[in-house]
Amino acid sequence: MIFNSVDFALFLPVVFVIYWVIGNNQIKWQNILLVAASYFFYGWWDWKFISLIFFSSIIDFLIGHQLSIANTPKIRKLLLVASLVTNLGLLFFFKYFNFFVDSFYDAFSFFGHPLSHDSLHIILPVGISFYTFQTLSYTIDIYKRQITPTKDPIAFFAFVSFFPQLVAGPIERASNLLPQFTIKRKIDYSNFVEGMQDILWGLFKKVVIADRLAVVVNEIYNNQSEYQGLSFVMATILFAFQIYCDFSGYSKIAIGVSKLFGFRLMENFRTPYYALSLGDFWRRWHISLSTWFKDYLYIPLGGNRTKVYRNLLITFVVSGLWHGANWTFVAWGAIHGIFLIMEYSLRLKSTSNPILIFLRWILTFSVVCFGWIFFRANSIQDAISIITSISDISIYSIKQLSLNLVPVVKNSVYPIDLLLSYFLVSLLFIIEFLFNRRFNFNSLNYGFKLLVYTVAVIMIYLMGVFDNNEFIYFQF
Amino acid sequence: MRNTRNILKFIVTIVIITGVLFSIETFLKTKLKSIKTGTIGKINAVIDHQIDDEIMIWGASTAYVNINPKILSDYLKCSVMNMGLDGTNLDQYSGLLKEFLSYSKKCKTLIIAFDINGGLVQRNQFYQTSLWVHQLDNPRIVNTFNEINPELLNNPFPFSHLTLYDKHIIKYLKSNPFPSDEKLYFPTKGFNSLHPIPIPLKNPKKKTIKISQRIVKKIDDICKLAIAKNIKPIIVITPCFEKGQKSILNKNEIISTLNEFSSPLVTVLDLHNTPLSSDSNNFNDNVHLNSNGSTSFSEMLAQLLKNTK
Repeated sequence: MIFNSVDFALFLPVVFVIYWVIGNNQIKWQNILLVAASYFFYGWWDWKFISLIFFSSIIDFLIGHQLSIANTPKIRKLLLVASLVTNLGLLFFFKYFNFFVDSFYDAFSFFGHPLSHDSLHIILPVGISFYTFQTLSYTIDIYKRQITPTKDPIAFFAFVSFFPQLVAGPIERASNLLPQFTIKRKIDYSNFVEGMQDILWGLFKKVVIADRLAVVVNEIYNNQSEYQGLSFVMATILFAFQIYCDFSGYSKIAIGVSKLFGFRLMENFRTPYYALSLGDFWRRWHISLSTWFKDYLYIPLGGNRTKVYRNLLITFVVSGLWHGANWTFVAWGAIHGIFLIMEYSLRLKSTSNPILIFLRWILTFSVVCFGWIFFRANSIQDAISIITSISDISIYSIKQLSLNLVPVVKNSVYPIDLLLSYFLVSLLFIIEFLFNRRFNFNSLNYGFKLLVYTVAVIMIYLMGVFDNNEFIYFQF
Repeated sequence: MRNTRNILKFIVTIVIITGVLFSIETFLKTKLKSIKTGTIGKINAVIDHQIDDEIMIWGASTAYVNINPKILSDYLKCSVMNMGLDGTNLDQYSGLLKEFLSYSKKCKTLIIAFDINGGLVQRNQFYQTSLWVHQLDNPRIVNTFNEINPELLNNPFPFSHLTLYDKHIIKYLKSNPFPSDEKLYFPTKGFNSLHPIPIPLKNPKKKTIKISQRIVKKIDDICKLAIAKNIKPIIVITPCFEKGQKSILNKNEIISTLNEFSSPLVTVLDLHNTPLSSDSNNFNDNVHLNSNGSTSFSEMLAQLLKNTK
């Protein structure tokens, strides 16, 4: 069940009403309902996957409990390893098994010893990377004695499977989300309004901006032979906004839906394209994942204390691999790692010079977009051919500019699609600029807010793309 | 007191947004129903029972750009209308054609044009859905929608039809926002002539076309409906450039599927491979004739129709 579907539009109000009417003031019943609703939500894709999340939850609940009573470091370590092996084993099998086997055989072929083999037909359970990391953080935090395990299995199952953030995050920490399942939740008007605002803004970002930009991006990236360098520049910039709106839109809806049920999730994005350095970008982009990798991989590797370059590279390559079992994601992670190393070695100081600020912004955005080429391309070869095409200086003439940046009708892309894309990106920039300046939407008067809601709803209806497009991050 | 105010605010918000959406939906529906030209104009004219010529040409773009009704009309001395709809084969326009057959009194000949490339290919998605949405009150149109994509209309969400409008209606909205009783405006009788300059034709990839049994059944149904109303159905297989013909591996199967409809009551004119098809100067692409080609083809068709009569 995806957020931008009719199924979810029916599911949410039903669960909401039952949750507050029947389960009012009864935490236990509310949690039971949330577990049932979450398993239903997850099983909507494929009911067989429910067993996976159930298995993962029960293992970590039991290990968490055992960790709290184990007295020797050796047993504690063994329990942690058991949790890591179980969770990462499942993740490896479902997500990476074929990738590594295929890469292994490809390597033999590359050296002139082709081997024949058949890949296993493995279906990737949606959201497995997200909930695996969430449950892992629970056992690791208990092991590090940063939290105490819960004795309430229902609360724990609800924490692992909480449907708003189950399949695409934010990846919550037990220290933030788990206690919220054990305290009394109250229905609150301002919470409700904020939640609805988040849902509206998230839906707008997804169906109006991301899916609209996807029309242009997909056309160019999927028909490479028909386009030239400047078209790729344009498509890559648009993809930068597509993936941002797609993913941050999902996170926003997840946060909004959680508020309707009385929960507060962490913010996952903070206007990332206003970043002035790559480090700054990663403090604003997919915050729940970047902090996860910082706390559970980068710092244990040595962090900033020792072998920083190595730690950065490993962390970002693994982060790339987390996104998908494809060398394009590995390359994307490596690019970020390498540029972060360069940035770290330069030790840039903050500046108030507007020209320098602008240059830094342009540079950061360019590096991020360079990385997106690998992220979006269908293969490493495609990415290289796109970069080669972009690097061809002869295309940067006025004539070529007018041919590529001024609307071009090709296949299913109409001039109006391009104009609309430019308009939506500009609109996003203005809104994000206001958010970046800590603009408080709720301080506006009711009439103006009503106008904004109405315009947003009209735009969702008339400019939204309703082809049941899944969120990009579901594949991870 | 504060709670009451909040509830009131919430209700006002919902009512205003609902009201605005309702107004937009009503405006779009009314406006598009009033269009008297172009594809929407053709659809409206049939739904409003305003179009009824002695010879009616139906088909996709290969009817729309290949058959000049004026040539047929001059030659056969009768009224002719080209109902060809760009990108829309029988699978999608069958409901509209049935609607036409339900009211027609003047029509004597029904030409259904097929090209060997896409004429028998089943649609899984509606083409340019937004041009049809305003006519969803018509059960025949709804049936066609449900045949092609049953999920599209199976959406209980309020104002879900609004989400089906898209960029293709913009040009229609630019016209007079409050039209009065304008008359139908089809100066070329629904025909669109393509540029006469020949375009170098590519060698398309070889492919096997899957023949849709649903479309075959629809042809049968339409022929029976027409015959029941004393309308002569004529199936015309439109020209295809010779290189394009070679690319379709099961061309003969397609032709024979259409030829099977041939009977004393139904005429099949197989014109896919006349001398026209060997000259690239007649074509805009492998299945669409340019203005030179369409003139030659229409003259040829007029002659054949005269003989058929």
